[in-house]
Amino acid sequence: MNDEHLAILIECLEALEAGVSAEELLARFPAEAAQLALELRMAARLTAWGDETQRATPSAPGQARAAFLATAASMAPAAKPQLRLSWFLRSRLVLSLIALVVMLAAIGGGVLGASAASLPGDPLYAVKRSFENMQLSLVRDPVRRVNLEETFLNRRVQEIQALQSARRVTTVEFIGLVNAMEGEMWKINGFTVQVISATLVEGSPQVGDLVEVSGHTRTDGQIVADRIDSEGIDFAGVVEEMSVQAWVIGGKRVIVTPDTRITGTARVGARVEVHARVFPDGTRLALKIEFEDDSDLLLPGQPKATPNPGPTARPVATPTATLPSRQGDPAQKPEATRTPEPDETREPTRASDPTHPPEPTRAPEPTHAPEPSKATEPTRATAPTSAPDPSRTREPDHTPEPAHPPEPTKPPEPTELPRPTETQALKQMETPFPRKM
Amino acid sequence: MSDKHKLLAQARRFDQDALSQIHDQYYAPIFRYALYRTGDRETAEDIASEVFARLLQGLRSGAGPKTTLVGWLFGVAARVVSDHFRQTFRSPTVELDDVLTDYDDTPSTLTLAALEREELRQAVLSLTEEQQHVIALRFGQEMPIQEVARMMGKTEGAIKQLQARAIAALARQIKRDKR
Repeated sequence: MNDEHLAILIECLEALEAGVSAEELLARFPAEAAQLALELRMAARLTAWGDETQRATPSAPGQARAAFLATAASMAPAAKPQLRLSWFLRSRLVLSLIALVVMLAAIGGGVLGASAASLPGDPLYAVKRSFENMQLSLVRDPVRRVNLEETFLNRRVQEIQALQSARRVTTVEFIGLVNAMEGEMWKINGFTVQVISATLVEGSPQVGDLVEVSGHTRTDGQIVADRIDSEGIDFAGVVEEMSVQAWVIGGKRVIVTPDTRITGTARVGARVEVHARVFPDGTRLALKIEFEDDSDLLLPGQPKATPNPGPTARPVATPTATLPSRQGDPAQKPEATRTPEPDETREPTRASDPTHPPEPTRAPEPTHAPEPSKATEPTRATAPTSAPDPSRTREPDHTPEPAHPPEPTKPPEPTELPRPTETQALKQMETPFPRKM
Repeated sequence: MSDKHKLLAQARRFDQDALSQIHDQYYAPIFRYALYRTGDRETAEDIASEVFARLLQGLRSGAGPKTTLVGWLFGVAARVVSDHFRQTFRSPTVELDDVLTDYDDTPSTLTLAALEREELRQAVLSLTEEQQHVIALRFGQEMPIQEVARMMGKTEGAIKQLQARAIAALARQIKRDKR
């Protein structure tokens, strides 16, 4: 079939569809009439066949549909339960949970009571941890929350001690400081941890680093590390905010702990280089913050120091002061219920530790006063790492003076700053925010 | 989002109402398409059921229809029909009497004799897969050129040419058979 005839046939088929009769089309193309007649006849037969088919109906469409839907039901992906509750119902649910907690606490028995003594590896241990998380989710007061988390962290330490005493073999996980590294025996958070050739060590942990340990206990009570992680990330940015909970650096929220190594003069507006660990939930824990001591980097309107002797801009220690740790004397255990002494209540700096001579207090930055609740809470910043920053300071009891002395001498380089307590940092790692019920 | 897209989205979640609606809307057309191509009612029903079973598999695996459900269904129907012919090519089971008696039309509405219809069907089988698909959609489903082109991802001109070449080939085939 040549192209010319094909074009004629296409034209004729369109005309036929538009209602032109076959006879008229054959008359229009007399030279092609013989072949066209056969083709138009074929088109008519195909159309007739189509008409017949269109009148046919499936014998049992309802049955076919039922079979189709039954198959679909069997193949449907498992529906994820979605709890869609109104605000009112959610409130009721929370109230119900609180009532449940109170009831269980009052009863002091049952599964919850039994789970309280459970250890890692026990069937009821998950119940214990779930209940702790629920308790935390119901506490809104930050001080109470910190106390509660400290209590739970103490439990973690006690659990590992109990596992060791019981010579039980089970998996353990904890976070703590590397206290010492002697061959394959490391001391982490007061525990002696054996680091064997099969241990996966991520990063280059050094003494003083905060690490995450996953391991197991042996029948002789020894903890053997399966994995030790001190990996972190590096980034740079300008310090935008310094609060007791976290700092904001370059738009990123970073948790600062007493174990965060800070060098340079810490201040809002300064540019820093940060080495931090990122947890799966996105929480960044600062391991190291290096301040560039360049006063030109201050934010506009941000004074280097002010005459106002108010509370420090640095995060101050909160009622929780000590890391649950086996290290040292058991008497070092935190005293969560300790009554604040009068001179501690309004003094954010450490002054009562006889082992530490008085250190100069740091000039405050007025834009970053601690939260009122923090300022009036008892402060127990007893750890040496909680020493205030001497970089912008005066002598103790020094009457506030205008900033910028005539001949400013560069103060000694600070190495440690008042920061949130380890407990605070650890609780944020163990129960990452945002917390959800 | 159009109603068809919404229906498809619901079907992806295996919503029974949506799937029921799809079955009600497209099962008969797919059955008729298969009947036009095979000439056998029972085979056509089997093919239609197979198409809808593949729809569920496609929805489950994510390989199902992306945008146009009707195009996907007729495309799968064409493949199932081809598979059917490949399996039965050497052992045809359709009898002429079955072709005639399976139609529930009154004799007065029949415009083709059984013999003539079977002759035509056999001739159509000599066409390419693509030509057979176009003929079934154009004459069996009475789909406009534009819709067939969209479903097959071709231009309207290409569909017109495919159709014309198919008809010319059928005419030659019948003419040759009658000699």
